[in-house]
Amino acid sequence: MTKIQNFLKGLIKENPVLVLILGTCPTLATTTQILNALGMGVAATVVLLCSNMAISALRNVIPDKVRIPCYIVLIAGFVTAVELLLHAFVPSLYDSLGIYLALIVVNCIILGRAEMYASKNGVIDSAIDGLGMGCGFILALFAMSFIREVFGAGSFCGVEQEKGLRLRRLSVGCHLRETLLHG
Amino acid sequence: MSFKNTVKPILVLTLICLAVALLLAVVNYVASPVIAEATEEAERKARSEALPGATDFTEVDIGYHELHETVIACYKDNSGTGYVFLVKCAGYGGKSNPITMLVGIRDGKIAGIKITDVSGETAGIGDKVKKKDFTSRFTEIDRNGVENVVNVSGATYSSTGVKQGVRDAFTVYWDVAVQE
Repeated sequence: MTKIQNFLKGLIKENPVLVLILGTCPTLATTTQILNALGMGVAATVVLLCSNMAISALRNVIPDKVRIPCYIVLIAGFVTAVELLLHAFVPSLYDSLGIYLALIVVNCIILGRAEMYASKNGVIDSAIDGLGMGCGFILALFAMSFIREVFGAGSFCGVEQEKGLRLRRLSVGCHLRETLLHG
Repeated sequence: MSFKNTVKPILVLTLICLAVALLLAVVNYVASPVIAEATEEAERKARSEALPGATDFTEVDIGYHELHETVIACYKDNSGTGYVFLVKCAGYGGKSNPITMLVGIRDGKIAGIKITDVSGETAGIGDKVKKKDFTSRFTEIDRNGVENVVNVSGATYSSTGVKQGVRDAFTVYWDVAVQE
């Protein structure tokens, strides 16, 4: 497939959250507000990009036996680096993401793409895949958080709107919406 | 014990761990001064909210006093007569998960209260004590007036916890801070 197709597949056709059903936990947790969801999306995309490239570069070096621990060490390293940089330079996002930033380490999208793609393809292709999947993640997060914030909290990106439908913000309502989006 | 099956995996994993540790050491070196400065600035800002009008503070050594578990630290306003106390009081969360707040006292009266941590209180109920609606009720109150401050309805434990913390701050204010 062409480079463009490689990128685009992550957006709709193979959207990590809505089609591959990966990374649903942080989707649930961070989509109460649009800005938080977008922040999570961007942070996860950065990690995904870095980890996909690193794992792809090392794919012929890492023995099969220890591939999972190696991937985890690399991913955890990138997540910690992103955490430190956010804490230093974007503290508001760091505070609002809280523990979910650290949980990017176990975000299935990252380990999933490492196993499914980066361990079998070149660095450039893996980078494009990572970028596409990351953007797909951001899209899914935006869709979810748009519904939850506008209808649940009655605001858009923190700005109060007129009293709209107050659907339940609780996780049950969220699961329901997620299943509808998957369909 | 062939190289490929046993030694290589261990070696590769170790090298990757070392490389990642090095990366993190570099990032930490760059980030931690920025973080430390930002934290200090945020604390200073919070203290200014508790003592309106004050911008710079010096920490006062209040020694080992009997309320040392609640009133953790004291800061004097560099350019005025007020003090800010860092207080951890037991609300709904109890002693193990206290409410953290900054109490500003000037001339024997509360100048302001800034509550910084209500994670031990019930979300949506107890954490309402954090809001200006409640904390502003303490402005210009002296030690004896704390009793009469109206609680947040439905959040009695959290409210009385805050009030006890304020009383403790007053105790330290009169016994220790003003003696200086």
